[in-house]
Amino acid sequence: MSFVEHKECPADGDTVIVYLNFNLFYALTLKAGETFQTKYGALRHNDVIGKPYGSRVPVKNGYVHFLWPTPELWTLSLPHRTQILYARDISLTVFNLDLKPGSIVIESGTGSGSMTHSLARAVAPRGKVFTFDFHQQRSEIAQKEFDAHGLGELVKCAHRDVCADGFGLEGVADAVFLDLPHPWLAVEHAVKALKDSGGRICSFSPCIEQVQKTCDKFRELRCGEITTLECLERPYEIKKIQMAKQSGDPTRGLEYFLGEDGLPFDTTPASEELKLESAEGLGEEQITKKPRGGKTNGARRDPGGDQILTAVPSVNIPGHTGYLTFATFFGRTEANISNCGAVLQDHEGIPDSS
Amino acid sequence: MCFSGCIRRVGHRGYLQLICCQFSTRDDQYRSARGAETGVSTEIQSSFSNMTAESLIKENDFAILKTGKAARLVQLNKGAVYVEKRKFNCQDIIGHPWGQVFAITCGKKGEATLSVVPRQDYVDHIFNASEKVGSSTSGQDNRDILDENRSQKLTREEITKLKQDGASSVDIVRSLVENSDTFSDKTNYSQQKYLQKKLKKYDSFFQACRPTVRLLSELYWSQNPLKVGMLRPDSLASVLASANILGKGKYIVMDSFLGLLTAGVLQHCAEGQVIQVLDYMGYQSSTRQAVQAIGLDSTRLLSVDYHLVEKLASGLKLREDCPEDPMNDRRVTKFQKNMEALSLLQQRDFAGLIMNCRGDIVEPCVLLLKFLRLSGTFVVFSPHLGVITNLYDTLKSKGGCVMLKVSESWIRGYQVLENRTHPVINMQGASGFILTGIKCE
Repeated sequence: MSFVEHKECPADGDTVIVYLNFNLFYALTLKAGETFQTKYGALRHNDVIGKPYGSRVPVKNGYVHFLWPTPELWTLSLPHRTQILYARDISLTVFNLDLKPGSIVIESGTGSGSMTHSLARAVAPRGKVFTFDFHQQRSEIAQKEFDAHGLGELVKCAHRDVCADGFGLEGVADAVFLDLPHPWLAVEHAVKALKDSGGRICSFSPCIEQVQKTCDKFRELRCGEITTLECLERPYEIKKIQMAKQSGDPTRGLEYFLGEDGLPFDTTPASEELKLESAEGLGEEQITKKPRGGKTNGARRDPGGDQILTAVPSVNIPGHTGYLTFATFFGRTEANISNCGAVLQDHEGIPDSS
Repeated sequence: MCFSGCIRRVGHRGYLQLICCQFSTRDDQYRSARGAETGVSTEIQSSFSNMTAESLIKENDFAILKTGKAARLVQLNKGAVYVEKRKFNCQDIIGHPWGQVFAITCGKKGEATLSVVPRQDYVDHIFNASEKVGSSTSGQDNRDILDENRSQKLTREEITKLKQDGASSVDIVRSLVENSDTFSDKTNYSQQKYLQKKLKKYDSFFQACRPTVRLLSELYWSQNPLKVGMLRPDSLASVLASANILGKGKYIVMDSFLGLLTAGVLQHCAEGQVIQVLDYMGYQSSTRQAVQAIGLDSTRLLSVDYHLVEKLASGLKLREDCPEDPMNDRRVTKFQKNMEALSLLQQRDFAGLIMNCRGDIVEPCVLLLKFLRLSGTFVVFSPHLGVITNLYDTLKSKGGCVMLKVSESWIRGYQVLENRTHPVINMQGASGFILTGIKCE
């Protein structure tokens, strides 16, 4: 299977997302004959293979769904080998790098491949993602994962310290994404990797000092339209809440006033003169209405009122992921191009590409 | 010996040539041991091949003309275009490469002419203009500067005259600095800020940019957020990502705003099919503006009125014949297009539903979800939390979907300058609200 080309039913070896509830889902690679333990009971892989994505599968104590693995679901369920980027930052980066089908994009570091899946989707079917990591094992695992996810044609991993050695790619990329501890050391290589007609660069860094050094480097290399921003997701919870009437239970506290007659009001009928306009409509009905709850236990008393549907922001949310800095490389001039060419021709053994 | 693909493209204006060369790096040894490649393949070369024609601005193309202050979308047909209230002939822009920068110079009779600015000169201007203005001294702080609005000795008339005489922005700002009593007392930082601001004001450059989803989104948003139904650029980014648009997928888009969302979806499904469901106002001249502006292949895009989809969902059968109207080809074509869209919908195997429309969203969302296949994604945008909340509740109680989530985004820009790094003063407060979910059994 391929993350970027839909098919109806998963086969042996395909990846699915096993969904139990909003906060509980797993990425699972199917193997005929095996079982997967969930909170609600064991899931037999054979019950999943050959059924359409999105189906419901019964397990011992309920059922689970299995879903098509989107890069967004993958990001939330992937095995972490490093810190990863999350959906908002990823979507903003893909958008601001002007990625579209056919684009060529470079990424460093590969990390756990969270970003890479989205980059691959954005440039598919004819584009390319070149992704580099200075950690050899990470790079190798990532390539295996991309191959297993059907992204082998789109994504090429390489083990490489791009800060020290550059990308080994010049004048080919539409965009470069940097997620490195020292991004400023890679900016020059990133510029070199972009097409002669120019392109976009994005750097993601958690610390402002990293951003400052990177921005200085962008300016030094004459990259413009430099924008730094921070983007966070604010999730909402949708709830039905009871809007209790403040007049609630009119018998409450009567014992303090020694009964209805003890209230701080005259016993003569309400005067029209003293009646406030806003209080109109608060008729006798409400004042004399019998309380719905029991009188004995105040805590359990039902105050009445309507149920309304409302949204409330989640209480604890991530407050910082990182700063995204975008810059535009305006392209090489004719003079620059011939200079670069000359430098390259100094190398020995240039093979003929044709 | 290991040759990894180091590709270099040489040339300009689309004259391309590829040279492969060896990696000349320290880890060559490692690489040959592992046989690793960055794997640059012939596919890349082929992706360059048709760039010659594409990189030039053609007649009838849409272009975004960007100045330092504003941007506008124009179509370069035979008529004139206006930049900064000045009139130009489209022909002056046509034939140049995309991204070309032009300078506006004023003639004697107040008529403006365009001249091409080489890229290098433009970049130099961006980075060196404030140095070129030049200033010798600066103050320590502003204790001696009085805000009396009298420090500038140059009058408005004199500035206008400078402009008419064809003075460059650097010349004008230099005169402003020379005629300012207080400039030399300002701190260096304050001077820089002043220069940047004034240079931006008097710059007479514009760049002809090829419209992209991002540029259009930013343009529309800056002109008036209501134009795009309050869909902020970063929210659009999030909507497009959450919709999981795959190259060969089929998508339903209900989009009432200039076709921006439609264009975003259409661009990402490079070989797929998009059906744009029209709201209660039906097809309008602006319905596909963004699609046309970006120059996307609209043969993969069909439009259909919502009320027809409603009738389809109510169980009405599609007719097999087509009414013939020899007098009106357009009517027949329109009928056929609607028919085509409806019969595609009938297959009920769409991969996603993306909505940002006028009017009710609850009913259309519930209805259009029926045309999605299992595990299809849906994303609904609305500037109103209440509306999204109702939709969430409806979907939740109907069942048949998982991963329902309502969110908004918070975005903050930063000024990053030496010793002057801080969040930018103005913030975009309204991102709108996004509901995402996945259809399931």
